[in-house]
Amino acid sequence: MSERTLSADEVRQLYDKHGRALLAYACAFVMDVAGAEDILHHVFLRLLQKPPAVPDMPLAYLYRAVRNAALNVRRDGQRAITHDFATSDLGVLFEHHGGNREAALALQGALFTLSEEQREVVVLRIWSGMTLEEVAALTGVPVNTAASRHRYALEKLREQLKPYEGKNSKVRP
Amino acid sequence: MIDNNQQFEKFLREFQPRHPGALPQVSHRHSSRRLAASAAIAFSLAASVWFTMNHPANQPGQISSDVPLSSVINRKYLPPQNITSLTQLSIDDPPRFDAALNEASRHQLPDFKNRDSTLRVLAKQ
Repeated sequence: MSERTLSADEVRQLYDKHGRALLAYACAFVMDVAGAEDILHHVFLRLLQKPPAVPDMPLAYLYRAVRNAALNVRRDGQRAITHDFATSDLGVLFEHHGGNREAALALQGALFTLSEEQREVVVLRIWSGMTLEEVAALTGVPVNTAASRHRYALEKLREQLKPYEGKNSKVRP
Repeated sequence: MIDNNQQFEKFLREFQPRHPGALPQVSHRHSSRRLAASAAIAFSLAASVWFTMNHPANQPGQISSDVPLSSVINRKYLPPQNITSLTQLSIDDPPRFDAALNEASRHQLPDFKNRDSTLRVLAKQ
């Protein structure tokens, strides 16, 4: 696979196009939305300042870079991670198409109750639109493992979001 | 079950992660500083090279008044490296000895580590 250096415009276009999904992906590791945003900025600024040679399709590179940066931040303890979702202000990650803010917050809380592996898979599958094969390749696990993580994650989420799912389906025919 | 999952996935896609804030502007401050430093170094190098080329210490063929003639004449001899050979040379061939001392003074610093060194004594004072 050939490699090339991204121009500043290309980097900014990638940020505009994939920023949302990458933010959700970083949140899979650090949970704190502001911290995830910092990680994203760090990765993209590095791309702008010292553009490395990246593959022609740089998306997988970007996801890996965000993953590594997030894991580094967490390892170095640069961000205190709290699991007390009721009292902590982690920032708002999701917006609902129909404007249901309560459901959006419920989804965020439900996501944070998943294991990191499950959260990573479900974020990549749902909000990055990856196939399970792509998710498996990125996370370095067999496809079956990725599939079962995804299945369990959906079960847990469905359990917690049942009230909103019904409500929304009634509101949105 | 698969249908249920697909339906639930569809429900989840009704939510969208918010867009992260705009990328901060890339700072060029450090790179411009580096550029200025490089330019200053290059300029001083160029200036010193130019100065050396245009104002050599001794023009070829010109003999400085404070350098003994013998030292210039005897440049072809390599300077002896130790005290014994220098002493011997001072007895056998004084002009060559002068030249050797002159040459050595260009390449060797005074030995301030030596116990009897004047520099060491001065440094203590």
